[in-house]
Amino acid sequence: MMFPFLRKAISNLFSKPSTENFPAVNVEAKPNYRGRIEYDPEKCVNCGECVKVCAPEAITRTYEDLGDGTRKGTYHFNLTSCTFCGTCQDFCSTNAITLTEDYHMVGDAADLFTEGSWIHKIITGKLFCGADCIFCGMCMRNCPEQIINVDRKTKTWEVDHDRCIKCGICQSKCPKKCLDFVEEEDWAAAEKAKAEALVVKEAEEAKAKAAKLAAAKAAKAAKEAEAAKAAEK
Amino acid sequence: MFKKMIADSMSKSPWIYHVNTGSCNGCDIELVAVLTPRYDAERFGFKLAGTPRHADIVVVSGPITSQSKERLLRTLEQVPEPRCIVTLGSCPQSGNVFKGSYSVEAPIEKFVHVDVAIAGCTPKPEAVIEGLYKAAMILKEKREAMKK
Repeated sequence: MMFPFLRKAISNLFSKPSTENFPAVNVEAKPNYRGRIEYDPEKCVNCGECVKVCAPEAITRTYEDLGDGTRKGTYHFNLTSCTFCGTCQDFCSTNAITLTEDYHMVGDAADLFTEGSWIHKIITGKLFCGADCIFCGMCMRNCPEQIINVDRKTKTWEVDHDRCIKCGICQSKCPKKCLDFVEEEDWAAAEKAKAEALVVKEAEEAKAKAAKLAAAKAAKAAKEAEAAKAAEK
Repeated sequence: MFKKMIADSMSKSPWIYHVNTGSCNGCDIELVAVLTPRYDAERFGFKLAGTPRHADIVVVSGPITSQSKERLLRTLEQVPEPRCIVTLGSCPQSGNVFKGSYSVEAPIEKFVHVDVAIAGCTPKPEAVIEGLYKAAMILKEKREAMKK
């Protein structure tokens, strides 16, 4: 009965130890391990969803007014406060936050921070769609908050002003450049200008339509005349 | 000659004392895993001490509940100098998800100076080894500074 154990004991003498030779050989974390946070300020639209969603309040943001109509925003990710749940990554609509597989987070607590800054224009006022709109829906598709609603058939454009984060992405994606942020006091004037422009646009459209119809009629008449001529022959 | 031998051997056997101040047990399990044959921190001389009076490195885990705060401080007072305090995980550094609770005295920095912070929730055993090794290095420096 001793023999199998003895064999195992002897074979173990010649096998490698099961201990990981860690500091000498670096051990990679398993795929999808949630480690050190990386933040890309270029992608960030400052919607603040990660700050809202973070349970241990590890994410904070600060603003610094630069004075020339722009401001510098900084996102701080406190790694000694983080639970590494990955919720910020899931909620980030532009994939600016990633939890990397780097687990070597050792040292002074003051160094265990991830930070990133961006400089954006300060946007005040509410989003306004001008008369040039062609209802293409580019703003609707690119809105990180998905609060713009465009219907091509009924030619409606709607936005939920309360939920707008004023990131300005819709403005940059608009092919007609008709989106603008309008102040409260200029709102009535903008509406008026839009209505007037729309009247002009409609009149032009009606004119164009009439011209097109007339051209089509003329073409049809010419064709009929040709057909009649052919029949006469 | 003997003094040098003792100093050398002491730097190669830092004893750990582990204090759990209301931790969820995740970090504690990882610390114990570090001492098992797979990760084997005893290669570097780390050994769990039974009492704080024998310890060189104190590993604190947990968000420091109001109940355990006094006991933590009493334990830390018993650890002889030079000592090194290591925080395990996010909890002792900030309170983690328990932040703002009436029964949590979160940042440990309020009471004692922390030498090494290991971040993670929970940290990987490799990260724990790294942190302990760093603590051992700091301990060595402190011991040399004390001699002068």
